[in-house]
Amino acid sequence: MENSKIFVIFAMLCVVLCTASVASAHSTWIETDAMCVDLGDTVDVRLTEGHNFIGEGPPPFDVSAELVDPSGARTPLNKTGEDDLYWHSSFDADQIGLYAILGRHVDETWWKVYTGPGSRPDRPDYPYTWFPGDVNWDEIDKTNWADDWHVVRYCKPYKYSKAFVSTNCNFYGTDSAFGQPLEIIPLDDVATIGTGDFEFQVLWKGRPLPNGTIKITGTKDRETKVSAICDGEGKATLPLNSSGDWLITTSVTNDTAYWDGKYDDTLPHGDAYTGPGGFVGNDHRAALTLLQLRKYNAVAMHAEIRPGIRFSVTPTSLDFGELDPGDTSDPKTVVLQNTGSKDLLITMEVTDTNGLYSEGLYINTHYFWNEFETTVQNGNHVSLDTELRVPEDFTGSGEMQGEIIFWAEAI
Amino acid sequence: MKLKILSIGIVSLLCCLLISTSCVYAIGIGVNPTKIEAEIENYESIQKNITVSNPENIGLEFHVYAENESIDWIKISDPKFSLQPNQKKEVTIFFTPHTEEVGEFNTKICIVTLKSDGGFNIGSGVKIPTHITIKKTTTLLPLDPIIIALIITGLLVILICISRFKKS
Repeated sequence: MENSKIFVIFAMLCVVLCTASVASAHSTWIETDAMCVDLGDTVDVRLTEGHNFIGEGPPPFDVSAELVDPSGARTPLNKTGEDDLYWHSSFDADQIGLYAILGRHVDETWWKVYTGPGSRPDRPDYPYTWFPGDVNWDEIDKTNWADDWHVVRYCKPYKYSKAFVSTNCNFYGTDSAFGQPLEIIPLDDVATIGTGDFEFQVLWKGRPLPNGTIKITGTKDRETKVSAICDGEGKATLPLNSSGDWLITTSVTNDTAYWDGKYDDTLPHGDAYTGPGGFVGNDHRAALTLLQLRKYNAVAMHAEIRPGIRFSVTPTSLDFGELDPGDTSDPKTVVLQNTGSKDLLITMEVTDTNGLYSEGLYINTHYFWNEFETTVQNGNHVSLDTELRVPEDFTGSGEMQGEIIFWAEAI
Repeated sequence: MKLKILSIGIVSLLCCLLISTSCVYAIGIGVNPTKIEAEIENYESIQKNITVSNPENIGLEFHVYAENESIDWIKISDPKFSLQPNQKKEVTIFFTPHTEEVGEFNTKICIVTLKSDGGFNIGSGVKIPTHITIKKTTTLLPLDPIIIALIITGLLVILICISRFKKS
């Protein structure tokens, strides 16, 4: 029984910690290399999920995509692969005109529960706690919960994404609906993205939702975001004043604005709760990716010269966990992404004061770190599995400091 | 019952791990050019510029240095600096060889960024292969006005001495 309590408290702590991130829900969107492509090009279609227009991984659970070609014909885009960042597909752009790429991601069901201020040690002012999937309410420790705790929402998230590609750089037709259940429609010319005010319309099954129901947000990066509330026609204007790529997303304006479902007064709640019950149904969100035109811009000339070398390493630190002398850690993945214009030769350098990492770090199981090198073609990435083998005679203890530098050189 | 509790714990922990791993930042760097060639005469000094950029969405600190420390006549205008997200900076490399230096020299200009948060940190760095050719100067004597003035003064003193010696 004592063990049970420990597990429940542990589970609660994990969930509470999780919710800090979940409070800002993942978005799912489509990425392509450019909106203007050459006739006959193979277009790489990537779906990712993350925050602030920074992909963090392939969307989990149910993912699918569909292509609408210039003739209006629809074909499914089959998954061609998956890596640490993306769900991949591709198609050959062999017709002149506009292609629309439509994505659909059905995520795991989530519970949003009002547990009251002070119910979460990590965020004392935040009164909600989130739980994924099936929850056994009798087993949850509700010690710190308010007497009127109740389920606010129990929803399955449906995330619709859209992107455009044109083989003649003509984007006539992007202001039409392509039949997504929840859809963001760019009403202004997508070629002018990033040059000022841009009007969008959000439609649910072809019709606008009630005034004030939907908020749209334009995100260029973590620091550059703008939002507006849609009116009774589903329209809102965002001041997209900064050049670059933009992700437009929708969210409901508040907890009473969900529409696809109904309130259920039989959901679990505390003794003091007297409200109408929680909302049970589906949570629909949409995302539209608009890229700054990089080729054949008929409106204005843009050119961004990539540096010869530009690469990123993810993550910024490695935690191999608690190990004993003689142990080998679980592998930790490091992703090297080459976004420059040259192919790169990557080597590494490990420094520490205790010899733990410099004597025990291995790459892809077989290679000691200083024997390892790899090339990363421009526009591609490479994933490495790192593992730490603690020498049998290692005498140090406690947290061990060290550094690993990934060195890139153009080849 | 215990199994259920255990499974809740494991699922929650997995969620937590998934979410926490998805919040990690990347550490990146952009550099131009990808190699440097310099041809100079001894007594001469030249400079080359490199551009360092921060492609990430977090501020980063950068260090620039020459890999071969024995070449002490390569100086960096800004050996340490910070860049905000998507910011870039031009750094000047000064090549001022000693007067006796002649020949071919190879080194690498290293630019590195690292975010130290304790534990085992990852950094990204770029090495720019740098080839320097130092040729012997084609000018027989350095045309420094002070040296010329000293030579003329010396010649005058010699002439005066000679003329006095003849008179005596």
